[in-house]
Amino acid sequence: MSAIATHSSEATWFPKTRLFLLGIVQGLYIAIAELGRLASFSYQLVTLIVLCKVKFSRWMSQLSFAALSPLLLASVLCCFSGMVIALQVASEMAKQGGGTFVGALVALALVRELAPIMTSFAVIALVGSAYGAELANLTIRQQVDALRVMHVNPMAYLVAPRVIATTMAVPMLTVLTSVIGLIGGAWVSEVVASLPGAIYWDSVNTQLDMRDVEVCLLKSAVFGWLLGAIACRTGLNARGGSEAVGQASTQSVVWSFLAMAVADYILTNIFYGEF
Amino acid sequence: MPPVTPPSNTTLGSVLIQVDHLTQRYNSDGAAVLDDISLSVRQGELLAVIGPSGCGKSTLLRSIAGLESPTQGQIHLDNDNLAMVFQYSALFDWLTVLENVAFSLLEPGEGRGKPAFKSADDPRLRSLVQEKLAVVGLEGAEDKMPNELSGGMQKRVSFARAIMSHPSIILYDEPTSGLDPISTATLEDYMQLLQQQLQPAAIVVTHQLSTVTRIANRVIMLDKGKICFDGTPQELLKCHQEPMASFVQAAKAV
Repeated sequence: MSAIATHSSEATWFPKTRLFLLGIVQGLYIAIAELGRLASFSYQLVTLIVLCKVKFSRWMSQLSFAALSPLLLASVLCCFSGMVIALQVASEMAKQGGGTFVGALVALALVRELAPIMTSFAVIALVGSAYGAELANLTIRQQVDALRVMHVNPMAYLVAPRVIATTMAVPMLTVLTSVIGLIGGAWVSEVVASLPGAIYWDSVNTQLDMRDVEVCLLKSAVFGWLLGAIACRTGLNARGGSEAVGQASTQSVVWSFLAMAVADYILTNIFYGEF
Repeated sequence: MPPVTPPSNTTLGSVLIQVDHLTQRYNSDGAAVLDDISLSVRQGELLAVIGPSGCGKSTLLRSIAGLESPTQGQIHLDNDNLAMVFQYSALFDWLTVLENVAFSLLEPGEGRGKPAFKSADDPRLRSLVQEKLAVVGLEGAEDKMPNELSGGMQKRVSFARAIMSHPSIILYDEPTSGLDPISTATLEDYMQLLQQQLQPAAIVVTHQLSTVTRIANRVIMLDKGKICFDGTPQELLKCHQEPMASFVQAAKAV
């Protein structure tokens, strides 16, 4: 009986394991294929931009939308992020005599990580989703086909201005939201731990390198490019009826979050990792 | 609707659209949407393509327009001065009627040099657009946005946009679908007028028998991806073979 039971357990275990492994392989395959398509899409965009096929006026109008619409949300998110970090560490560090490091901690956490991420979240939510839905709508209503028939490249006319806009908007917003987050942190440090502002800002000045700011801007630009390219690509690939618009919007948000998480890890590893 | 005499076949010019053994599949292992289609359209000819839904009519049009790459076969166009009137008008929402109609002059497209006009504010451009809008009975609509127009008016703007570049090939994808009988007849009249003035090679995909009988001088019927009828509208009306007889009967009933 026991031999039969063992055999039966193995029989169920093997297919389950195999299915699990197959799922992983399939997931990896899809991820690599998507990455390849995104790389090819990005290459086309870079070529168009280098060849100056994108009208200045077109991407400037997109830039105003990409930078202004998420401004309030990104500012609030980063302000509270700075305040929360200060709340977590200020009183404890002040008690143990480390009050001079509070500003540095808030600054490093914000500039190295939170400000680019939170700002990108706001841009994905308000701009990426809108781009995905807008381009999906243009695609299913044959407006993209109409451009092609008139020999106008939709990549140059619709996509490139949007991707340039998000690539520029995210770093610009990140600079602003980092400052707002630092101000929020300074206020909480003063209220919670009675830490004088001069000590806080001195700590920020001492510990924050120019390199941190450069990496922050680079990260933000990469996130901006990724979220713009993913949103536009998802929109252009929409097929079907009106439900495709909603799906494109959702997919652009999901894929942008995933791509941003992976890119964040890779960039952090390159600039701050040990290996 | 009064019958309009289609142009005589003897007045037709050289072949502008040549389709050779076109096969179109969306999935490599799936059934062919178009199966070994060959046809040609001459200058001044208006070819109507009819058939049941899903028989490949729009795919044929999209392939000729270059929006789909053929799985097999070849499509040869005499020149690339091609315009298309889409089923849902496909006007650009973010542009005014004037900018939509003048789009090909403001955005000349890849490999076509500099635009003829730099700005939509150019008075010469405005007068050109007004001229085209007058052809389709939409005088004074140039500063409106597409969402301020009815479906029929949007179709007419789309028509004006198509004729702006004086195309030698025009493709119509169900231009009269969703229109009332009067708007349908009006649009058919514009198409007829255009055939007489510009003499383009034109293909119209339609379900309307009136479009076939009033303005086409040749008609093909597609069924399951193949051409099952190729003749004049008069021959179609007299045909007793299936599925042509059923189509004519159903279309007359509508």
